[in-house]
Amino acid sequence: MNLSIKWFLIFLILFFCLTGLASGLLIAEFFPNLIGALIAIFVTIIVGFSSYLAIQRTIINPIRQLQNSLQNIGSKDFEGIGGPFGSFNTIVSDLRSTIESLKQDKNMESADKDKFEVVLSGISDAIIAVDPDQKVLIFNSAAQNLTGYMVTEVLGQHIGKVIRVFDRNEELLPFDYCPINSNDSEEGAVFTKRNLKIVAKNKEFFANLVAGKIKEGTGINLGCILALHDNTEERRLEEMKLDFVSMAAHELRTPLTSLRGYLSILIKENKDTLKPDEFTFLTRADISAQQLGALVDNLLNVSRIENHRLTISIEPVDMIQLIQQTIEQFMERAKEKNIALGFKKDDSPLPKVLIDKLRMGEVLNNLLSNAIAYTKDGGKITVWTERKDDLVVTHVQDTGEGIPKESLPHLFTKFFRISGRLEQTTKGTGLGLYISKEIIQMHHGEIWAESEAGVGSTFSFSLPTESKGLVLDFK
Amino acid sequence: MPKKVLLIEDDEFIRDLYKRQLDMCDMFTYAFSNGSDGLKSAQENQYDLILIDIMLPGMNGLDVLRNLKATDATKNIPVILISNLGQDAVIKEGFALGAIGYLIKATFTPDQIVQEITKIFDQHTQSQVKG
Repeated sequence: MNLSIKWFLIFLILFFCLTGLASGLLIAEFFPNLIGALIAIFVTIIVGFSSYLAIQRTIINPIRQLQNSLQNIGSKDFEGIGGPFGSFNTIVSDLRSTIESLKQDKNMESADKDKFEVVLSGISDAIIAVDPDQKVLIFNSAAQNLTGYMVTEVLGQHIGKVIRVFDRNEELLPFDYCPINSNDSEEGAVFTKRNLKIVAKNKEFFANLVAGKIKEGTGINLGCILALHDNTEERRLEEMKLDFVSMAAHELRTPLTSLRGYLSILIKENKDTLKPDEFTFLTRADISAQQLGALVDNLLNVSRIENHRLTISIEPVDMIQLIQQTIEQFMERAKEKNIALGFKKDDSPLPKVLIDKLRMGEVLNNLLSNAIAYTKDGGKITVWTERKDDLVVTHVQDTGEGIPKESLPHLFTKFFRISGRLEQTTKGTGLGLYISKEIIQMHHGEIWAESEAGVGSTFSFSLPTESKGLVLDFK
Repeated sequence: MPKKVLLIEDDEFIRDLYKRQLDMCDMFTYAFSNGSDGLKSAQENQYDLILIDIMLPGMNGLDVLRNLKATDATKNIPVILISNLGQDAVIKEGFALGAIGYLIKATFTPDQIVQEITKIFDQHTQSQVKG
């Protein structure tokens, strides 16, 4: 029994004892002798005891019942009480239903939470959610496996302390990849990047990252969700593929080397004794071998570009010399089509450029190849250079068919070929300009084309001069 | 201009082609089809220049190079790698092992290859004299 009820009870008993005593004393007034005293004591006890019983029944018991009910209000042992507290039953009944439904909701929530946890831990991609201050809120088991961190180590930590993200050699900071403050559209800002290097606790791995700002996240304290897809395996396969392409290129080049080599000596050493027909046939065989070689190079380069494996090693080069050397290689082809191919020399001195000679040779090869292919017999191809501030610009101009205006923006895209009546007679994979653009851009230059249908085209590219190139970062 | 040249190249056609061109330019070329025969010859003769293909049967060209640099008798002979492999990693390793040049065969006619080889050799000799 509750302590305060006990004291109340004791107080009541004492009170009624006193009342009984008072009644006894009153009776004793009228019966002053021993019998009177005994009667007085007896009356005192009777009155006291009766009062106690009455109070017990009418007040104490209901209170006790109420107490018990309240204690059991949430459990199955609940019993309603009768008497003066009848309306109490209704209140309690309502209360009990509310408690039941709350319990159910809690169970559901718990089940949902469990479901959520199970789903998160089942996802093979690392899922990291951060709050608007970029502190980690969610860090699933895949994230733990990939980074080497336990979830307890990272919760509440700023994401920048947990992982470092690198795009090739450039570090991306959380504000770069976690678009929290972006005021983007309803769909929410999304940052996507492939092949990033992630450096974590004691692990490093490559991954594709997709990060999205959580729309209406501020209400629930969520800022941004990152999903990291470990692509180590994919990269390995890409490596193997690249190696395969390199090996294939090597295998193709071996017979090509012999082919070109023997044809070249045969023609050179027998120029004077060969009949015109024989000379032409051999020359064409040689040209074809050259084109085959260029095709193999193009395929290899495209594969490298796709895998971000095309690299350049730069040195100061005299552009004019390189152009002249390349033109030499095309003289035979030009002669075949009766095209006048030449370099227009400018008297002003041209500064050297910082370039990868081999790669730039490929660019010139592509441009000259195209010029010859798209220029009719009897046409003219001129190459010239000029200096524009700290750039060296090279132009390859032809008097060919020209390029339709609508094709100009697409010229440098992969596999683009201009359809037209020349299509049948042109050779090529549509890769040359795409590769040339990649190479020029890697040199921090630009490439563009101007053309007029029926008049001709000019392909131009700019390269930084040696002095400017020295301050640039060539990857 | 090198006088005595060692050529290690397994493809018969290319081997004959290059030997022919080099000899026509007043060089004496000794050609072998595999690394171990080439190495043996390098140790027994005084070559001015060694040309090595990379894809060889048995020992590959880089291992041959490594061997040459590890032997006192041959470590100072300039080596130019000639190959149709163009992977950057391979080229880097070649230079790291001490090659003075790396030429991709398919990009040159035989004449041009001889020119390039001579140019690289002369540049190297000059820098040796200066340094």
